Formats: sequence, C-alpha cells, structure tokens
Amino acid sequence: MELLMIVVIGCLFTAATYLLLSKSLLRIIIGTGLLSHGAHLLLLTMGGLKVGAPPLLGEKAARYVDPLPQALILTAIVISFGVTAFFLVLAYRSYQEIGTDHMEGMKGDE
Amino acid sequence: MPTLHIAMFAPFLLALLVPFLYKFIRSLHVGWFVLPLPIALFVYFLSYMENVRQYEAVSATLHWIPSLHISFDVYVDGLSLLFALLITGIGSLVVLYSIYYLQKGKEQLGNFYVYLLLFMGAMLGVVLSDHLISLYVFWELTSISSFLLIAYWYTRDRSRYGAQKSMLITMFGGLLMLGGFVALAIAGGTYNIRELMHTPLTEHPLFIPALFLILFGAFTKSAQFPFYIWLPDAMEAPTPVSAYLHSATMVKAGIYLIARLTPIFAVSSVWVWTIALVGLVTLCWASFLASKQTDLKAILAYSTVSQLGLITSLLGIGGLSFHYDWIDENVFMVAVLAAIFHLFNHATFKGSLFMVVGIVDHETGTRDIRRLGGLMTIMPITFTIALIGSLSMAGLPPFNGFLSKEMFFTAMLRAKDVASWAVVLPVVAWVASIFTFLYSTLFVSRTFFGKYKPHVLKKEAHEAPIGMLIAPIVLALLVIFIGFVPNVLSDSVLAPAVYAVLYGLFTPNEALDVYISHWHGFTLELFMTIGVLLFGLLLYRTFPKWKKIYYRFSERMSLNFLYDQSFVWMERGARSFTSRIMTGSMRTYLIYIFTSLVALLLFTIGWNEQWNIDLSRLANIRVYEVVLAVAIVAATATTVIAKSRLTAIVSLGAVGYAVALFFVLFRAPDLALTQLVIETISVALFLLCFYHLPKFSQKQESVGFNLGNAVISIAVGVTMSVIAFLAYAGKHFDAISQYYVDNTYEKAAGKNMVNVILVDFRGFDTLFEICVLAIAALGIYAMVKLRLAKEEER
Amino acid sequence: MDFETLLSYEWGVMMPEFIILGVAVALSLIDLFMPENRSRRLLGLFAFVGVAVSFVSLLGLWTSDVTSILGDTFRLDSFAKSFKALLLIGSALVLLLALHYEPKERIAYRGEFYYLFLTALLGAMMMTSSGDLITLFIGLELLSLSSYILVAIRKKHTLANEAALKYVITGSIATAITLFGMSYIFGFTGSTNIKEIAGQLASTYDENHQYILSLAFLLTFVGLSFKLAAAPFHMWAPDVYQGATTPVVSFLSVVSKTAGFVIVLRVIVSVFAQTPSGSSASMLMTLAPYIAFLAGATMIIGNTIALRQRNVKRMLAYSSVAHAGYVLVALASLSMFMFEAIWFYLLAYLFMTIGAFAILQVVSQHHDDEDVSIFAGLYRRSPLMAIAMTIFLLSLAGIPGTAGFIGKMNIFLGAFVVEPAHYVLASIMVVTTVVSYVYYFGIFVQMFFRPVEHTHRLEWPPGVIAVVVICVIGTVLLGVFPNIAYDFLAPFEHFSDFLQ
Repeated sequence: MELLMIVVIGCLFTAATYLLLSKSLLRIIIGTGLLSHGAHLLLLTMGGLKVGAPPLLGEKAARYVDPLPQALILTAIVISFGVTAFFLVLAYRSYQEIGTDHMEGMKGDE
Repeated sequence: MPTLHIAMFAPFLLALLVPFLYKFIRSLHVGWFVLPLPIALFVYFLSYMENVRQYEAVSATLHWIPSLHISFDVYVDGLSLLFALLITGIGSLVVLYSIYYLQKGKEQLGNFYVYLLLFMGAMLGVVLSDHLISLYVFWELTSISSFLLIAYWYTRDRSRYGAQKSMLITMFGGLLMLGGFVALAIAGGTYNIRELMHTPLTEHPLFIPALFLILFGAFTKSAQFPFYIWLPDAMEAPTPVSAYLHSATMVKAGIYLIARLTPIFAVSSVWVWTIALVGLVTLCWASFLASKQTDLKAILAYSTVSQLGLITSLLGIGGLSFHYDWIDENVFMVAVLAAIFHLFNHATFKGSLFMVVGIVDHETGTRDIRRLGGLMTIMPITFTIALIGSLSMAGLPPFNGFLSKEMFFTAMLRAKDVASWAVVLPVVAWVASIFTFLYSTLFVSRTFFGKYKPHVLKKEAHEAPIGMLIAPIVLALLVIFIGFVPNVLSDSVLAPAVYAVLYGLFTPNEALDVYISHWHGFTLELFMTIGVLLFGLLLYRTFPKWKKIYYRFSERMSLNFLYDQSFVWMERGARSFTSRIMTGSMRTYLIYIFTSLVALLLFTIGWNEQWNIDLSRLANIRVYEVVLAVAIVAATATTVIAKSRLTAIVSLGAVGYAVALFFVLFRAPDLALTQLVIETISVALFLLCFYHLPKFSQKQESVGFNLGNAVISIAVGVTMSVIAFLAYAGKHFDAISQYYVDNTYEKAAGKNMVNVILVDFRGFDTLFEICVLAIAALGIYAMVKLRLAKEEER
Repeated sequence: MDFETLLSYEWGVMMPEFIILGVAVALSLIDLFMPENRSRRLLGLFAFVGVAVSFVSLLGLWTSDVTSILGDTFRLDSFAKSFKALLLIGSALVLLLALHYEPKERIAYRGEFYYLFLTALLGAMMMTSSGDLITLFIGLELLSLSSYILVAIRKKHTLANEAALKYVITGSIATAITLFGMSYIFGFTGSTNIKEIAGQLASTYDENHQYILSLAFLLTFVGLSFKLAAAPFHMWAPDVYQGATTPVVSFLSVVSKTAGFVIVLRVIVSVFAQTPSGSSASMLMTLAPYIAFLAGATMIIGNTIALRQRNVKRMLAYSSVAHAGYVLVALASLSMFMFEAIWFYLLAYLFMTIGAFAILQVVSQHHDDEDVSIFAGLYRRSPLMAIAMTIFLLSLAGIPGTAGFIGKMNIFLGAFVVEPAHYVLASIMVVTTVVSYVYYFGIFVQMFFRPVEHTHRLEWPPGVIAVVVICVIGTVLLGVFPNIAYDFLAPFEHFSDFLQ
C-alpha cells in the first residue's frame, strides 16, 4: 500500500510542479492546491499506514496509528486553505487592477 | 636598510617627490631633476662590476611579510647586474631624450616622470629580486606603469585601447605566472630562487604545470607568439617610453625570467623545446609582418617582437647545455652567450632607432613611410644614426648586431644535430634573418632615400636640436664600439651573465672563456650571412611585386581580431547570462530552486552508500484502494491537461475528495472530516473567483517550454518519490508519538489524540495557526477594501 | 540562576557591547525629546564617539585570556576580538560618512538611522562572541531586522521601498532555511551550546546519520549565504544596493558581510570541524566541495554580471558579491591560515569599499544620479579624489601595492597549500579577477579619460575627506606593510583558542 501511495504522491508532485511553472495565475493556484494534497499524503504515508486503530483512546485498541502526522496534517489543511483563499483573492484583485492573469504581463519594467 | 634596497627603492621615493617639484618649480623642465637618479644608480651598479667579474654574488634581505615568509631578497649576479645596468643606463639616456621630446608647458610632465620612475623602480625590483613573490609584485608594477605610460596621451582612443590591451594581456599572464610560482614553491618548499636551484624538482607532479604557467607569464610579457599583439598597440606611448619600456627593458623581463629560471627548469626538455620553438615562430612571423608595416614605429614594434623571439629561442637552445654537457661542455653555451650578447646589442641599436623615429616624428609630424622620404640631406646626423642602427639590426659587419647574429647561426647549426627534425631550426632562423634584413632596409630607404615630399608633411623638416641627438648618438657609438672591440664586454659582463644563466654547470674557478671575433674563416655561418644579404636585396628589389601576399591574410584570421572579438563575446555572454539568470521573473527563480533542490537531494542520497531497506511493515492492498489511487492520478492528470477552467477546478475538487477518502481508509477520521469541509469551501471559493477571472489563455506555449517544464516537474516528482521511499523504508529513529499515546488521557484528559495534541500539547502552535488565518483574512479584507477606497476616489 | 551567580560573571568582557547598547538607548531617548526641527547630526557624532569608545575598550581587552560568561553563551576569544575590531572600525567609518549624507529629498526621522545602526552593530558584535546557537540567532536577527529598516529609511522613495521589500522577503526565507538547518543540529545533539554540539558530534559517529548531518550543514550554510550576498542568495544585493542610501549600502557591504562571515565561521567551522565523517577526517572537509562550488559560482556570477552594469552602485553590489566569493575560497580551502586570510581580506575590503563608497556618495549626491558617467572627468575636477578612487579600484581589482592584493594573494596561496590543492577554484579566481579589471577599468576610464561634462565644483565635506584619507592610508599601508595588521593578530597565535 505504501509503495502505491508513494507513486501517487510522485504524480501529485509532478503535476503540481508543472502547474506552478505555467504562466497563468489560476493554474499556479491550482498547482499549490495539488502540492498541499501531495504533502499531506506524504506525511501520512511516512507515519505508516493501517498499523493500528484510529487514534481514539475510546477504541481500546492495542495499537493506534501514529497521531502526530495527523495533527500536523490537520494544521496543514487549514493553513493551506488560508493560503489558497489569499491567493485567489490576490489573483482576482490583480486581474481587476492589471487586466491580466498572465505572469509575464505582470512583470514590471527593468 | 641595506644600500642595495635603497638603490632599488630610490626611484619610488623620487616618484613621490616629482609632483611637488613639478608643481612648485615651473621654470625648469622637471626631467632635469629626474636625470641625476638613473645616472647615480648606473654608477652605483657599476661598482658591483668588480664582484661580479670575480663570480661573487652579492645578496641582502629585507623582511616584508614575515608571517608569510615573504621578503625582499636582493641578489646581484652577472645576469641581474647586466639588466640593472641596462635599466639605469638606457634610463638615463631616455630621460635626457625625453627632456627635449616632451615640451614643458604643453604636457603633463609631472605624471610622465612619476610613471617613468615607477617603472624604473619596479623593473629594478624584478631583476634584483631573489624571492618569487616580491618578483611577482614588481612584475605587475611594471605592467601598471606600462599601462599608465601607454595611456599617457589619454585623449586618444588608440592610446586607451593599447593601454587596456597591454594591461589585460600582461596581467593575465602575470597572474598565471603567480600560479606557477606558487606551484613551484610548493614543489620546492621555498620561494627563494637561489634555494630552489639547489632543490631537485623534476619528479614533482607540479613541476610541469609550474613550468607552463611561468612560461605564460614570460611569453605574455616578452610579447611572444601568440601574445605579441599587445606590443604594436603599445606604440601609442610617447616615443621615449617605447624606446625604454617596449624595446630595451620591460619586454625583456620575460627573457630575464626565462634566463633566471633556466637552472631550475632546463633539465626538462619540455622547457627547452617549448621556448626554442615559440621563440623561432615569433622570430619568423614577426619579421615577416614587420616588412608590411607602413608606420615607422610599427616596423620597429614588430622588429622588437621578432628580435625578442630570437633571444628567447637562443635561451631555449642554451638550456640544452644542461642535457648534453657530456658531448663537449661548450657546445650549447654559445647559445646562451649569443642570447645575452644579443640582448645587450638589441638594447643599443633598437634604442637608437626608436629615438630616431621619435626625431623624425617630432621634426616632420608623421611616421608614415608613404609620406616620408629624402630626409638624408635634410637630417644627416639622424640619417647616420639610423643607418648604423639598421645595419646592426640587419646583422651586417662591422656592427655588434653582426657578431651576435653570427653566434645565433652557430647555435642553431649546433642544435640541428640534436634530433633529425631539428634541421628546420637553422633554416627557419635563416629565413627570418632575410626578412629582418628586408625590413631594416625598408626602414632606412623609405625614410631617408627617395624623393622628399614636403607637401604631405605637416611641418617643414629640419635636423633635430642637439639635446635630442645626444642619446641616440651615444647608443650609435656604442653599436660601433662594441662592433669593433666586443671583448671589452666579455669578461666583465658576458661571462658572469652566462655563468648566472648556466648556474651550477661551472664552478667559478673554471673561468669561462669568452672570446668574440669577427672572422672565423669561411664557415657556414658566413655563407648564411652572405645569403641573407643577397636574398634580402632580391626581396627588397621585388618588394612591390610580392607585397600583395600580405593582403591574402584576412583580418578575420588575425589574433587581433580574436582579441577584439573576445570582448564582444564576453559582453554578449555577460548580457545573455544576466538576462537568463536575473530575469526578474519568479518562474525562472522557481526553476532554479527546483533544479538545485533536485540536484542537491539526489546528490546527497547518492553520496550516502548504505541504506537499511526494510519493507516488512508494508500494509496490504485492497482493490478499491487501487481504484481510488487510479482515480486520484486520473483527476490530477485532468487538472493538468484541462483546457477549460471549470474542468480544472472540478478535477482539483475531485482530487481533494479522493484524498479525504484516503484519510478515511487510513484511519484518520478527523482529517477526513476537515478535508471534506475545507475542500467544499475551497471549490466554492474557486468557483466564485472563476466568475471573475479570465479564461485560460488559448495561446499555446512552445513545445520546448512545455517540455522543459515537464522534465523539471517529473524530476521533482521522482525525487519526492525516492525520498518518500527512502524515508519510509529506512527507519532511523523510533517514533516519538508513544509519548502522546501514553499521556493523552493522563495529562490532558482527552480521548481523541489528534485533538488533544492540537489544542493541548501543542496549543500554542494552534494559536499561531489561528493567527495566520486571521492575518490571511485581514489581508483578503484589505485587498477587497483597497478597491473600494480607490473607487470612491474616482 | 540566582543573583550571586550573575554577579560572579566577569561582565567586563562585555564592555564594548554595553557601551554600544548604552549609546543606542541614550540616542533613542534623546531623539524622542529633541525638538523636531533640530539637526540630528549631533546624534551622529554621539554615535561615532560611542563606537570609538567601544573600540578603545575592546583594545583594553585585547590581550585578556579567553573568557566565557553566562554559561558559555558569551565568549571573548581571539576570534571575537579580532572580528569585533573589524566591525567597529567599519562602523566608525560608515558613521562618519552618514554624518554628511544629504540627499535631495529630506529624510524624516534621521535620528532613527543612528540608533538602528547601533543596534545592528550590536547584533553583529553579539554574533562574534556567542557560543550558543540561540544567542547567535538573536544576534543575527537583531542585525537583520535593523538593516531591513535601515534600507527602508527613505520612506518616500519608490526604489528604496522595493529594495526593502525584497530584502525582507529574501531575508526571511534565508532565515527560515538557516533555522531549519539549525533545528536539525539541535535535534541531533539536544543542545544549543556550540561547544557541546561539537563535542557530541565528535564523539558519536553513525554512518546512517551522515546524510542528515550534511543536509543540516547545507541548509545552514545556504541560509547564511544571504548575509554574505553569496550565491545562491545574492540576488537581493543589486536591488538593495541601488535602493538604499549610500551609508546604508556601505554598512551592508562591509559590516553586515563581515558579520555574515563571522556567523558562518562560528557555526560551520566550530560545529563541523571535529565531526568525523566517512571518507575524510572531518565533516567540514568532506563538505568543502559544496562550499567550493558555491564560491566558484559566486565569483563567476558576481564578476560576469558586474560587467554589464552602468549604475555604479549596482556594479559595486555585484563586485561585493564577487568579493564574497573570494573569501569563500579561503573557507573552502580550509588552510591553516584560513582565519588570518579571511580577517585580513575583510580588513582590506573594509578600507577599499568604504573609501569607494565615500567618493561615490559625494559624486552621486552632487549629480543626483548613479550612472557611471557621473565620474567623467573627475580627475580634472578633483584630482586628489580621483587618485584616491583609483587606489580603491586598484585594490578592489587586486593590483600589487594595495591591501586588496595581499588579501587576495593570501587566499590564493591558501588554496594551493592545502592537500589536495584547489586548482580549479584558484584558476576561476584568476580568470574572474582578470574579468573584474574590465569593469573597474570602466570607472577609471571615466575619471581620467573622459572630458568633463559638469564643471561645478564638488564639495567635499570634512567627514568624507577624513574617511577617504583613512581608507587610502589603510589600503596603501596594508598593501606595502601588511605586517602592521598581522602584528595585531600576533597575541592570538593563529586563533588557536577558537575550537577549545
């Protein structure tokens, strides 16, 4: 399972990088979204998959999965939402001001 | 401070005084204050003649940077004394000449003499230093002073061009030479030349690199092929400077260095043949080019290059003395003798010829031989000097040039026995001598014979004032005097210098027998000279007919073109480098970051050989999990290739929901919940903005652009996978989460571990996280507000 | 920690820092209560005196033994003393320059400049002495934060704003990277004390942890390269140099860069020098190729891009990048005399750079322009200043007879004497040095060979003249008698106490 996840993570990172390198602002934002998904899955996979019960003490299980990556990911999901929202508004505003969402068009003069 | 050091530093001290003398004493030409110093130094160095004649070297040391073991070691032997005498002797004459050449009131005389004294001191430093680093320092100082003197008439473009060219080429060579010095010092364990001579070095791996690096320095300085191109352009300097630096002294620094280091390097045949061949090529090529020139100074410049080549090749052959002394110990010594002798002779005749050119230029206003002619009757004294100098240069008896030229032939003839191919040596030498004869003849005939053309001259030509004539007359007299009684030099100057070059081959007791004579009987050398005369005259007669050959050489083939072009390339390269690296575009920087990240990470991974791969903990795979994974990959691919925004956004959402499903599968209920909520809001937000944002540009980017991006992104993806695999498979540390498992209930009284970690154990982190969200919210609010404010203004 | 322990420390060793701190606090108070319209030059003089007094007190401590207080977080060893001297000399000269800086638009809140300057200096001085990653980081941030504001001090100036923004952003990224690297080090050893870290790393060796350690090393080093303005964090330099005021620029290029090398030496050398490594005696040696690579890249980038610049400040910015590369060569070659070589080079660099900026300040202020053509005909207008500028340029180019030459030669020799010798690096150094002649020559040509376009007389304020004179004397004297500087280091016995 982990190996499969590693491949999936690789695909997510590839796609994210490709989108980040494009010139349209919207694509770049989508790229950051994919990047955060990839990072979340990466963190989870590193903790080991399905090695115990969900990290709820009520389960009374002998082993639980590692709760720490989950805590980190939870934080990361929220933060990445904040960042995406900020980016989106930024893109929207800059489009209104400058009239383009193309990266090259936003460059100032030398 | 030892007197030798005082003598060495005296020019620098006087140079400090000159600006004040120039400023406050306007009535007298400042040159008169400078003149006594070289004369005094000349006399001072003459006093060492007696020691040197006895083969006794005088040395003294003054510490400079003791912590780095750098000191001013001064060493006076035959070789350095000869150079010191040349520097101060010719220096005196040049200063005298310059007093008449540069007019008071019109020129910045203060600067001129400061630079000249700077040069004199630096050059003395070069030839007296016995320490490689201080030698290098003085060496570069001569380059700087030469630069300043060439740029003396700085308002002329050609002067600046020539100055920059000479500086870049000689300093580049100098820096390489420094590298060679350091390599040599590492091999030998000392910077002291004298000590290095007593250390066996040939086996050291740095020996050959050091040899070549040092030769770079010597060849650039002594204008050897292919570095000679700076010397003709250096002729923009005032003529006294050309006479002094660019013919008599500075350009011989390279030769000095070769001679000085011969005892260290000559045991290697690489040294011998590199020097000999480079010297011969220079000799031949430059004498060929000299005949084409129409500017008197250019003729002399190329002639200097070719004569320097001659001396260099002789020193190379002379190095063979260290190889074949068992044949007959004097066989190749004649080459060294010829080199030293010719070096001296060249200083005399070329010095006088340069001064003649200065006079002609000064009195007629031009140096172009197409405008000159018929000056013989108008300037009889100048003509006589020019004739003597040229005949000596051409190698005709009874002048000193003949004597050293004969020895040159002898040396080359002897060298031909060393190897079968070496027969070319005397042939090349002979051909070069024919061209030497040719340009010497052209030099005199075009200037002084033929028809006087007053209408193309700027000034009415007349004989120069006597002050200007003294210096060239002295040199011309020397040419004749040495020509007739060469043996005045043999014991006092030549033998000690040869002894110094071939240091270690003789003991002082084995007195060197140096005897120079005009007549050796009907030898091959004599016939070669006669041949030179005959063929030279023939070429001179037919010169207009075969002149066209020179135009066959395209400008684009020349070394000068290469030099100029290299600036264009450098400029272009710097521009494209700048525009590529500093585009100011975030995208480019991202590419740098990604590539360097990938490279560094892969390198670090590859560097570490050992990995404990442990795959025993792999979890099982169910079919629906595979389906889900494929779905994620498919949705991801769709976001990338989607042509419309809506598709992209929706498929991004699909990826998000699939991830949430994975969270469920992997026993992370909190994550799944959060992800579902956030993903829903995100998609909604995207769709909101979607309404306002423009459509995806339908303009297709170039294939190369996309391909480049694809390569980089695949590299990043693969790297991430590899890292993930290694991090998973090679467990280095125990997980630290056991603490939380154990203490969640005891310390925090909670049962959901993830929640407890977030709000209790790492509560502050969560607080900051909320702060970040708040800041983002504020930012969004501010951005929205910003617009409103602006609209109100309108 | 109780009061007794606090009293028992030898606080005297912190005297120079206390003086700077006191003056900075006093200045901010005076500035607060001073009438708005009064000239703030007095504050500058006060700051200058403070720096001078601090320097004197440092000289008083010069021969004292190695002392460390506050549980080894602050140590006064030969390294700290020698580099503090550099920082103080540089700051004093920059303050003299700042006294006479009068740009066209008036700078509001001038008083701020002086005490921010002092706090930045304080941060740098803390770094030289700190024996703990925490104090090191605090010093670094104190310096960084103050310099961010210093760059932005011309509030109404667009270029200055852009420069400050870029500086803050790249600076914080660099800080983050450094911190990340440091956290690895902390994670490995469980200590922030440099001495303990070094001890821990030296005693334990695990094949598997090597790559994580090297990652920590790289991250720390790359992050710190920001302060050096070396590759890969050099890109802020030109924009910031162009946007900031000349005194601030000279501060950044001299004091801040020196501080950067201080922290690099403190962290990198002391932490990794004794760490065993698989293939060679020490981690530092194994990783020296990385530094060498960055040094080479820095030299090439700095020198090639400088060729294209018309704006003198930008040109000097790239030239300062290139000089950072030269110093990194010394670090990469790890020769026995590395500390001396770096110290001497930075001293030489201090004189020649501040001197050049002093002249540039007056000339560019006069023309309200920074194009290289403002130097046209300087030789005719103020011959002595043109000659002084020539000396600085020659020194920057590393021509014999100047301090720059000795410094460069030290480094050059250092690259050769180590085993294996850094031939590639040395040759890059030679080639880029020749390239640098071309752009230094450009200014030279303007000064001497171009006709005078502007005939107004240039006003040379006394402070600037003093700076130029001091710098000329320093450049030439160190070039001719470098031993004067080495004699200063004589009591330190090649910084033998650095690793103890």
